[in-house]
Amino acid sequence: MPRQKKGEVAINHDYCKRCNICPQFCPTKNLEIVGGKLVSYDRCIACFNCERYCPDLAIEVVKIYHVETTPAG
Amino acid sequence: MEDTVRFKRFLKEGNLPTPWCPGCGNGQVLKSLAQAFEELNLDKHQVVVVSGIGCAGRSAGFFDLDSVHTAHGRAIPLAEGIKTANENLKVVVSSGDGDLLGIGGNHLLHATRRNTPLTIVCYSNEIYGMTGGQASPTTRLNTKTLTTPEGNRDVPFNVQAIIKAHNCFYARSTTFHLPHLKKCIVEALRHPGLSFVDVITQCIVNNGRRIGFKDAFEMLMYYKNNYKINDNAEFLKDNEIGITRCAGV
Ligand SMILES: Cc1ncc(C[n+]2csc(CCOP(=O)(O)OP(=O)(O)O)c2C)c(N)n1
Ligand code: SF4
Ligand SMILES: [Mg+2]
Repeated sequence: MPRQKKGEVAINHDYCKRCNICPQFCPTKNLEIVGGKLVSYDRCIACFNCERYCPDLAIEVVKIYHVETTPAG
Repeated sequence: MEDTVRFKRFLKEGNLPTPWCPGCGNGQVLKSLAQAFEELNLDKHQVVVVSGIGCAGRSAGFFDLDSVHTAHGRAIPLAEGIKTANENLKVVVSSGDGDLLGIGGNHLLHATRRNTPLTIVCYSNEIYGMTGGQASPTTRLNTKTLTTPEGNRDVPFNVQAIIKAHNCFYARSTTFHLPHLKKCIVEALRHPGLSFVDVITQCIVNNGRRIGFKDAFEMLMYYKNNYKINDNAEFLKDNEIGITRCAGV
């Protein structure tokens, strides 16, 4: 089973200055500047590094809570 | 809303983005100040922020509370005036190394002598950022700047010794050590007399690039590798950051 994503990265493109700090702090390479724009993929583990180090308040990480289910039987 | 963004109530989000260059550490210090206000659950109407001139000096305008962007070097006397008029206010000075230690240096000396209850946060990027990267009072020995093309020959200002000479509160942190930086500001805000937080901050555009750093992240990694936390020292060594002990408080 693929690793479940644990967070959603909300990027405010009006605030983001594409300084390239957050992609280098992300332990799962979930963030990247592509064609002059910051994009996020689905590998967020909700460590909050990007949000913490962003000098421009351009990132908010929202945790995703997964409900643990026990397989039937 | 996650707890991590509650501090934003202290900032004027509508005025963003800030005018600072991509990767500039000033935004990280601005956030840390707001986070410290949030941690102490301060009442917005009881806090005033004062800045002087410079890139760091632009910070006052981003706080959603009473703030003053005053003349170059005069943030401390203005803050002392506010505190004298209304001692119930928490008065915070948020300004640059050039502003506080260069043109405003004499005011700092006398404020420490009076031990005026202020919290001074110094954005110490070791340069005059706004005017293009001239050497500042905190520029290290042998560092190349716009005005010292063969390396700085002057010994940097010993801020710690000056603050501690009158037994005021001194703490030092960096924009890499953000939880520690917030703790330093919180402790400074709790201190009953004058408190000074020296924040080593990256100016990538007018300082870092000239001395060989590729980007802001590289400067942050340098802070990570170069500085060790010591919150128990009487006096911090050059490669230490921490909250120093203050006799009799
Ligand atoms: C009386 C006066 N002298 C000189 C200047 C030019 N000046 C503007 S900002 C600045 C230096 C600010 O340095 P610092 O406080 O370190 O702020 P930074 O830009 O590095 O954040 C200088 C010299 C001025 N605005 N007013
Ligand atoms: S010149 Fe330096 S201090 Fe000023 S905004 Fe740019 S990076 Fe920041
Ligand atoms: Mg400066």
